[in-house]
Amino acid sequence: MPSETIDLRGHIIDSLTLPKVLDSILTEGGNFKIVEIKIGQKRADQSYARIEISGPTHEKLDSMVLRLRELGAEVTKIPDAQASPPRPDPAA
Amino acid sequence: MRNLLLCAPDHYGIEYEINPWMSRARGADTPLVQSQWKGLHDALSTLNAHIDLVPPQPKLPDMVFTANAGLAVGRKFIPSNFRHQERAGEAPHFARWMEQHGYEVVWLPQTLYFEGEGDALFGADALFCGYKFRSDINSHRAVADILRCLVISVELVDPRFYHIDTCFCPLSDGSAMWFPGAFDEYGQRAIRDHIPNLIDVSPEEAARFSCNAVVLERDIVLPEGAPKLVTTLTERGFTCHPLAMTEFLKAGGACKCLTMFLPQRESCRD
Repeated sequence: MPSETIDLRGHIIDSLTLPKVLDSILTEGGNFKIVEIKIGQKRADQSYARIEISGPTHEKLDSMVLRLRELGAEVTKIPDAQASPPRPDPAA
Repeated sequence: MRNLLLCAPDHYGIEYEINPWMSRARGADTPLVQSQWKGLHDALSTLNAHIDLVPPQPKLPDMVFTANAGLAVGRKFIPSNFRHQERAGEAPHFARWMEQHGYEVVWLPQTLYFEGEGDALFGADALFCGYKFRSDINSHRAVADILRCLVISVELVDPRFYHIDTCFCPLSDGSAMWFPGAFDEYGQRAIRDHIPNLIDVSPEEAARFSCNAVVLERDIVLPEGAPKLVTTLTERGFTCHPLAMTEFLKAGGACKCLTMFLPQRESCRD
C-alpha cells in the first residue's frame, strides 16, 4: 500500500484536530499508525504527532493528504541520511 | 472602559464579491450607511467605550470592518494576512496606525492567511479561532506561539458564516452565543468542551448576523432582527441594544465586524 508520513502540531488535542485527522484517514479508506506523539503538559503547550498513513491507491493517498493539509498536517520530509540503504541487487 | 477601533464608512460600498452576501447588483445606500454607522458609534460611546478612529482609505471599501485589521493582545498587534487580494491593501494602513499608537506589530509569515479578530475571539480559557474560508489553521499555531495561549481551532462549514465572529460570540459571564450549524461536528464538540451554558441561536436569527455583536460587560450591541435571542439574553441579565445594520449586512458584516477591541485582552490569562 502506498504510504506517507505526516506531522501534526498545535493544540491538536483541545481542538480535536487529532481525532479529526484520524477519522478522516479511515473515512477515506486509509490506515494509520501513530509513530510518535508528544502531548503538551501545560495549558498553552502545543502537542505533536507523527503519523504514518497508507491508502489503497496512490490517487486515494494523494486526495487524503490534500485534505489533511487543510487540517494543518505537513508531509514529513525524511532526510536522505535516515532513509533505508538500498538492498543489494542479488543479480550483481 | 474598553477602547475600540472603528473606521468611518467614507469609502464603503459593495465594489467586489468575496462572500455570499455581497452582490455588486445590490449596492449600499450611502445616507443609510452613514446613519447606521453613526448609530453604532453613538451606541458604543454611550456605553462608556472610548473610540479611536483609523482614517479610511480610498479604494479600500471594507476597511470599515476593523475587526479584520488584526488581533491586539496587551501591547502586541498581529496584523491580518488577508486571503483576498481585494482586502490586502488594508493591512499596512492598520499596522502603521497601530504602530503609531504604541503597539508592537508582529507579522505572521506571508504564507499564512489570518483575518484577525474576525477569526480569533477570546472566550472562557482560550482563544477560539475559525479556519477554512479566510484563515488557515496553520496561522493559529503561529498565533499561539506569539501569544503563548491555548488556541482552539474550529472549522467553519457554512460559507455565509465565513469568519468565526459571524457565528460565535463569547459573553462576559464565560458563556457564549453561537450558531452551531456554522461549525463541523469536531468544532461543535471542542466549543462545548470549553464553554458552559452556550446559547444556541436559531438559523433564522443567525442569518441576521445576531452573533456579530459587541459585548461590553453586560451590554450587548447587536443587529436588530433577533427577538428570541434578545429575550434569552435579557433573561440572563444582559441589556441588548439592537441596531439597524442592513447596509453592512450587504457586505457580510455587522456590529462586531465594524469594531476591534484595543486590545481584545490585556493578556491571555484574563
